[in-house]
Amino acid sequence: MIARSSRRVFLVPPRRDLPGRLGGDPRSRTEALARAIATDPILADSGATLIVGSGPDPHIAILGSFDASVAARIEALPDHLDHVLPSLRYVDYRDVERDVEHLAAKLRQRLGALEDHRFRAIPRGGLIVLGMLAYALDLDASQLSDADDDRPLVLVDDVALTGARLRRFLVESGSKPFAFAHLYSHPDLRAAIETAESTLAVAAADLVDRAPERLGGRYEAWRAAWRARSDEDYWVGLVDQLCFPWAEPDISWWNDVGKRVEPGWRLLPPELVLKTRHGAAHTADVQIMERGTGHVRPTERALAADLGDEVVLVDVVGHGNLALSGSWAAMWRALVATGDLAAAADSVAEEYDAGSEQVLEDLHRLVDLLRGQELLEVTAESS
Amino acid sequence: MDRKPYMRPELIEWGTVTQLTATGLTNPGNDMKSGSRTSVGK
Repeated sequence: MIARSSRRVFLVPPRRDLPGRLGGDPRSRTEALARAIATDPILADSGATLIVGSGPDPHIAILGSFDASVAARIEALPDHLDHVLPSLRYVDYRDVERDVEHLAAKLRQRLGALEDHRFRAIPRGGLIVLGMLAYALDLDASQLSDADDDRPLVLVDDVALTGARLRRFLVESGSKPFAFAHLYSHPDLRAAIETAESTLAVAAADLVDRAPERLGGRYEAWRAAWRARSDEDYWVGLVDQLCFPWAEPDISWWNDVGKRVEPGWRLLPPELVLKTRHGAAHTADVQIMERGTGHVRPTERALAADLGDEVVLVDVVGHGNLALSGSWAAMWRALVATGDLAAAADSVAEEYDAGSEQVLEDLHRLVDLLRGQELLEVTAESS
Repeated sequence: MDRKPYMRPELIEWGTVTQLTATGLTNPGNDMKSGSRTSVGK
């Protein structure tokens, strides 16, 4: 059965809680968020277009023809932002180096001499941590070989959120690590791993679980629902979102319309995350509106999406929208590009088979219409 | 170069607009967990 799609515009209001890592001012932070959202594979596959408004503290509009499942995913975006943004922290390479040294100290403390141990990493984040750990522990090259011998194995990862990656390693390799070392995890996860697998779980630092406080009386039902959906997890929680320069930790989201588990939204733009920069097969189109400098220009309440055969204008105040097609789409583009009525008319008349008088008459109708809706402003010099 | 045909100006309502706020969600925060998805359809 083909799911029915309908044309929708979703408006994301300006947010005051975007981290400074995204940019120096609200506008650049909003642009970065839009570029992060655009990397979402489900949104990209839907053919969505994202628009960032022209003001200093702009809205983001997400336009497209969405089926009910994708629409539900977009509607959950504010909740995702509300949960993740307060706990989002970017762990840069220097932070990682510091915490690798903490991890090395804890491994020496828990395991004693490490000369007889061999080390392996869970790809791909674990490889980066193990590379640094090898220097911090002064490991010999032979300790890093893939040879499956009798030496106790220390398995290394960047972060442990549920232990599912460890479980997959156990299933696929058939070997049991003596210790599972990683930078960050919740203490209850480490305890669950040690109980279930008799494997020492060692982390450089603890993550805090926000779920009990956030969910209150719904916590136990939430936990039971996720345990039923995730048979690889040793533990379920909602921990701080520590983002590495190589990857943004996964969040799972239950789409109750699509009845499936989907990846959560990405909140860091490609320039901050290696995996996003190179891993996204394609992204949704992002259009950044400029304020314009001419006599005729869009107001801050107008978001304009250029969809090729038409231009869709969205009013972020009145929440109305209208599509300009035919010659009006060309006129809008000419007005934005030139900022001048006469120049826009000349441009359209040059490109299209129409007399200047006809073009000017239609252009005035368009300008009057959009001024009436406060989507376009015209200063005295041009009106 | 040939000029493009001049099409009659048209104005249509394109779709429905929804302002996204967390208000109105039936299960805020209930639908996500840390970690990758490990199974689907359950």
